[in-house]
Amino acid sequence: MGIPLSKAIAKIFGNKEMRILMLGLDAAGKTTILYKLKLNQSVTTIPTVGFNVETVVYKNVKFNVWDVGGQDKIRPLWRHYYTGTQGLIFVIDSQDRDRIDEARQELHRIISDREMKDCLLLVFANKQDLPGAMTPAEVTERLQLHTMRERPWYVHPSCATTGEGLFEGLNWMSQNVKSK
Amino acid sequence: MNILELKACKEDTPNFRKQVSEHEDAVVALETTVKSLLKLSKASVELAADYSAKQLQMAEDMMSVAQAQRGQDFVVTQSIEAFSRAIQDLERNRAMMNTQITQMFIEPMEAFLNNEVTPVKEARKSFQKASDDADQALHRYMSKKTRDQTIPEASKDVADARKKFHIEYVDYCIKLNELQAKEKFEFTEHIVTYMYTLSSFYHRGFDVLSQVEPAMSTITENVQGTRSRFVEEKPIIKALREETLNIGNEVYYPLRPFGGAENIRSHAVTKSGYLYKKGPQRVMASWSRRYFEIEGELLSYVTRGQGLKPDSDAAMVINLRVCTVKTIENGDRPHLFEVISPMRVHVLQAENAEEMKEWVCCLQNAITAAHNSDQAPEVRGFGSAKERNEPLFSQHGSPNLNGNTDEDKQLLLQVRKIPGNEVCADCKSLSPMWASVNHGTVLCIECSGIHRSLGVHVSKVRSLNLDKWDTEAVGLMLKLGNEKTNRIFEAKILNGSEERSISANSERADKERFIIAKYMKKDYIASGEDKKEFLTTSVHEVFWNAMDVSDYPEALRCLALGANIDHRNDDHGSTTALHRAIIRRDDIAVEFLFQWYADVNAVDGEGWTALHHAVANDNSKCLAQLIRKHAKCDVRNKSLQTPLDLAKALEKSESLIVLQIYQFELQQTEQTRPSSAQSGNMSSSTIYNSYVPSPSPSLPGSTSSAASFTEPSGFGSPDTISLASMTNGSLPPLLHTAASLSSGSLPASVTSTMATASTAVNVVSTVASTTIKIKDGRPVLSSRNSTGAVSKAASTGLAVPARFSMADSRSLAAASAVASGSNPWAEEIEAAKSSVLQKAKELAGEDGSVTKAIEEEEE
Repeated sequence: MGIPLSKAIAKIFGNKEMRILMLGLDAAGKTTILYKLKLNQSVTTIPTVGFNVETVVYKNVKFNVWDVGGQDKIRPLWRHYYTGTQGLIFVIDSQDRDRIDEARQELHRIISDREMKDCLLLVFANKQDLPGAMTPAEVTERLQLHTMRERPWYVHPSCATTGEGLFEGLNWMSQNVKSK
Repeated sequence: MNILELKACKEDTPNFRKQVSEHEDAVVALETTVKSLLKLSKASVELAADYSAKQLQMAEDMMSVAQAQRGQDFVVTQSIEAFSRAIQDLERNRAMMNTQITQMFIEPMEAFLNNEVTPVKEARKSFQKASDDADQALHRYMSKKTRDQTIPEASKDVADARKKFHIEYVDYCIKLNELQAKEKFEFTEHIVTYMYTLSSFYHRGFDVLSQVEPAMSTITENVQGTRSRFVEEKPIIKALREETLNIGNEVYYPLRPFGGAENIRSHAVTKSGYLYKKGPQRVMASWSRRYFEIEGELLSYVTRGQGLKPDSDAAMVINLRVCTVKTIENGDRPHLFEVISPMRVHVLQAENAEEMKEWVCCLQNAITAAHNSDQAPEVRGFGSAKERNEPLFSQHGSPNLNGNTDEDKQLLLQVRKIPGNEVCADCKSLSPMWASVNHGTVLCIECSGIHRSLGVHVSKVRSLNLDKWDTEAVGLMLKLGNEKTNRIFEAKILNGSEERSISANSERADKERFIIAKYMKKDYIASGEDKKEFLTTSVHEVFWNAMDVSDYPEALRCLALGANIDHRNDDHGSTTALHRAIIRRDDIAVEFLFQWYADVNAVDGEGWTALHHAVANDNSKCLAQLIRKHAKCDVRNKSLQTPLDLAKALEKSESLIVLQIYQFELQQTEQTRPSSAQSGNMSSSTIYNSYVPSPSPSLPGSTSSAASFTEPSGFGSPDTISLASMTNGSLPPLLHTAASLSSGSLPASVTSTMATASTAVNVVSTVASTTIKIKDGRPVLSSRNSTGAVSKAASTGLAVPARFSMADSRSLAAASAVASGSNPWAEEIEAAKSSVLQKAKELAGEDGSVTKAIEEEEE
């Protein structure tokens, strides 16, 4: 009887629970996405020093979304959040072409960790509302996602301030998660 | 006692006998005395040894007392140690004395007894016998009858016996006399030796003890001081007791009246106290009382009586670097808050609201402080890292925590000291720790948040202490600064024609309005005299000239007034500011120009790109900067040289190597592209690469979403179209489109428009071969479909699959618009076409031949 009661109930009634880790370079829009999902409001954020965690229920799936700050010095702490992560949301500032290579390096570093080998990868090509934003296709190429064979991945355009694209991403997550 | 007269032996008078007898008594008495002395002295020596042992034990105890006091009172420790050593000295002397007594007194006394006294006693026996023999012989002679024939014989016997007796008698008397004499010197001599031994022992003892006398008097004074202090402190302690117990009764009430926010130590980073902690069970959780303490970046907890030894159990230490703290509203108990770490959620309960708020504040402060600290994180308290048994930062492997060298850190410190940088450039809050790199200003965290929301084309925000900084970027920060930049962006406020609408305490919305006005609308830039100013020299030229003398504030002003950053100065060989910066090896200028998106591939009059100039300068640092910006390395100048050719021609070896590596890498990436297309051959259920912005019922609707994009470009018209058209009828038109495309029943005009560019042909065929899977009411384009596009794309030798994958969403949208017939399709197709071409050009930009091909097709 290792399963707690609430989990057992969740199994019977078909509720799924998913631990989602949301990472990305600083100013990619992670916190804005989190609170847009949680409150359906476009909140104004300040840089995240540390992390935020919220539970978002969407289509009977309970998403525990961990949003960890993306400043250079905080990135080494990311790996402490890997354990038990079923889905990674990697958020890209689609307008910031200068730092897409940096984003790629960080992304590949994350998913090469053995704790992350089974997790789904959702990339939000965020800030699509800004001028000169890279298209999802361009983001896909610049992130070299095609080299990723063993893992389900999905790139979706989003605009965190309006919320466009966010739930589509979660939907993909919930449909592709391996039931535990 | 007199000496025995030897002559008197002959007479053997009763008086003489009495004298002899007296001597004999004296011998017995002497023997008794000597024996008793021996017994007593031996016992004394034994006792002294015992005593000595006890004294040494005392010395040892004193030494350990001294050791225990070590570190508290140096004088006391030292003195007691000296005492202990004195006692040890003393006892060493006593041991010596004992040996001396044994050797110089006991042993000689024993010898005296054995060699002198005992022989006398033995001599007495033979004397007695001789006396008896003589007496008997005389007796026999005297008792003879008168006529006895044996009288002469008897007489002879008597004479013999008498003679023998006389000899014995004399000898005996000599011995007695000798003994008496020896008693006077030998025996007394031993006694004197004994006394000397004692005397010398006590003398030495006195010497030893007088050496520790000063220490004794010091200690005595000390003790008196301590005693008087103790007496003095008594009333103080009493007062303290009163004070301690007098803190007010309300503290005993956990639910004491809330004293207001000012009572909370909202800036503290340390706190300790008891909290209730919820057990890990989900149902029927138990609560236990634990003592929590924030120490640096660690939060530790222990049970009472365990002592604060967090090292003993790693589970009881939480590293705040990976924690967040939240209050719990509507919990099943009051005053709850939670400390969330990646591994666990700790639900904690404080006694009252005040305590809870203070804990939350302190924890938050400690978390912020931990992140901002320059020190390497504690290894403890991460939980998972320990299990994984890996060094903490193996992956990000930078020994220096935030990746900045000490030199850069020093520079960043200088940045904060620049005039105006002590407050936020926008709201004037104190000690700003964030920066807008392209403006060279420092900001508070809140304003930095607003800057970030504007996009990197307006402001590039970095943290002064949480981010990695390039030396050039720091250099730029040093060249600008709040004061200089605000002279440009707040010119009207400074000259008094506008008012500053916000302060540190303003509402966020007001700050946002101000910042948008300041940086995006540029409301406060002085533009009145500009018209005159730029009459003779254009703003672009002014900018170019300012950059050429590294006048960044002026250059920034010109950019704000709309200067073209890629302006080519025809007086200087049609070079751009970037070319000039590279020529004069001004790394900071190069950084500044890139911050404001200077075109890395701009060419001058000679057809030289920035890369050519960097090669000519053999500036590998600059080369690296250009390469990071993906500078094209196949542009030929007017002498038809690529940068690589130039490097060879000018024999710039360093540049040559850098460029060769760069080209090699480019080729590698090119080679990986075809392989990426094959990802489609894998099971389509595992690999998704459909980026179609699929219509979603949860989207608010076409009109509102389209309206939300106020910028005409960007998310772009094609996507707006797709949203607009698709949300009208969602799935059916899409399917219809796919069907109509595959059956070839598309209106001829559409087909022809689409086919104008070969890229578009591929797009169409991609769409046509697309099988649209219905999955949970959503169309999903499986990756297999792109293979067709890719293979065709490959056959025309044009572009890479990713480009088409994007394009197909666009054309699909356009097609669907056609099919649904709800829009003036021709216009939209035209838009889609141009966007496809534009996209293709943009993406294929690196490949000149492709661009050319597309252009030809377009014609």
